[in-house]
Amino acid sequence: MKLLDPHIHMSSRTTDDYRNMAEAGVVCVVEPAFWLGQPRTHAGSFEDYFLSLVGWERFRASQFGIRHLCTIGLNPKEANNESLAQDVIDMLPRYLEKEGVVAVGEIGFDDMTPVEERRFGEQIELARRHGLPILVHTPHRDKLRGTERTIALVRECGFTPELTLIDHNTEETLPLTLDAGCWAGHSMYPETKMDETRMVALVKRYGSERILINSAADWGFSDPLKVPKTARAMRDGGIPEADIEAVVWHNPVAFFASSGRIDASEFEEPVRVDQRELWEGNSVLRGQEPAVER
Amino acid sequence: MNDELETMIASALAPTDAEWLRGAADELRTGDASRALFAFFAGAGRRARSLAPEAVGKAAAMLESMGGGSAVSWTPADVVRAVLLLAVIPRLAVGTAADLSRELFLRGDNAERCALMRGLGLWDAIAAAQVPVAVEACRTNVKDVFAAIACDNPYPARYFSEAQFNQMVLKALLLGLGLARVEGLGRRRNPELTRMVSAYANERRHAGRALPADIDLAIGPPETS
Ligand SMILES: [Zn+2]
Repeated sequence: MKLLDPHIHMSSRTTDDYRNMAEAGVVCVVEPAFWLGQPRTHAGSFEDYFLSLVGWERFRASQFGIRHLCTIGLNPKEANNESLAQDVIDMLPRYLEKEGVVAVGEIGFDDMTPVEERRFGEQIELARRHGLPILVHTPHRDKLRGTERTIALVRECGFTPELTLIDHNTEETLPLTLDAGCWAGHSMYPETKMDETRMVALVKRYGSERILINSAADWGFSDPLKVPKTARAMRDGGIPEADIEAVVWHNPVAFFASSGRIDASEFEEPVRVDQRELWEGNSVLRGQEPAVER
Repeated sequence: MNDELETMIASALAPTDAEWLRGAADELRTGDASRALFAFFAGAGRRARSLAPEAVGKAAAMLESMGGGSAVSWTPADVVRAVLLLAVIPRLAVGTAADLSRELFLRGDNAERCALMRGLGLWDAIAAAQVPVAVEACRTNVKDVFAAIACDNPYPARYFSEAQFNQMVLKALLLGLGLARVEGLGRRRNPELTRMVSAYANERRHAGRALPADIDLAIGPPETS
């Protein structure tokens, strides 16, 4: 079964992670633009980050046969830095046009400030202009309220719910997200957010329609193999294969395909791995024989 | 030739993509070229998906004859991006054109960078001014981008200094890219390159590793035609 991790920050992961993910069946990742663990001091560092998402990181993933897509946006935490935020918003149109950019994101609420709400709305408008869906982060604190306000804002903006993926859902927020007609992401963190057992229970209760799971792995305490591990837990929990496949492949593919940037037929084909592409001076191989798939 | 290429490509695209290309090219010919070009250049990849394969081959042959990368190297997206560049570059002063190339390179994704490299030799008048961006591209760690300038491209042999050319050839050798794909290598061979490549061969022998089969292509005096 092919797996897609629709929310993982690969820039902060090692090549070992890529190798283990590929071995576990992950063939595609979506890397949302987010913050870097501490606030950036100027807009230029956002630009170089966006460029690494469509450049170096994409190449790094391809060395392991993993297709790398990304979302571009101003995250809610840094939206609160007024002088920085405007410069970042101004540079977005150019990056939203790039190949492999499949949504505007992560956008949404963090502290739920008025400034966050304004930047959220502006980026919904950008998504409309560039024909892209949106990937919405929901806050860790006061999550239920944050999710309600997210749904309300998407409605107010007249943005299509089917083009909206609301992420980091819990038992409390999932019914709201589904009732609003949006797609529902679940971040499988080792300790917080959501775990395998709870996820199995949610799929048993709500089915697989519009439900996605991700590892949300980054530089923090997280696990890039959470999608394969949760797929296994769903299988052990007696969830039908078709539902598992919907959650880990068909749903994320369908959602990101709404960007019109994914060639669906090409997407079903595996990426050819040619580790000869790796660099002698800058390579995981360092003397090992390269793996070449024919 | 530019008009002929643009007309041919537009007629081989799906109607909405053709309309997009005509509109983009018109805007580039008349408006504030640089700003508009960035978005068009970035979005060209998905517009090129509808391009008929025969048209890609025909365009590639034309672009090769105009001094661009050899016909085998052009992808559909490269061809559409070349049409966009052809609408802008000839209008610009040498310095402005070089600045624009640098901007497209620095803020491009991997595919945009490749397309730019394949087109560097298309404009004789400004080709020499593009050397810095071509050398910058040789520093990349992304293999496709390096190959776009080093392989199947007449530009480096025509415009690189000896030191620039030698570094590029050595890197192509290290990457196993196939030196037969480095255009003009025979005629640009030189004693310093022979020394560098021989030293690399020694290093491999000491490490007990095989020598690339095509290493001899870089060794010896320049070919005379
Ligand atoms: Zn995230």
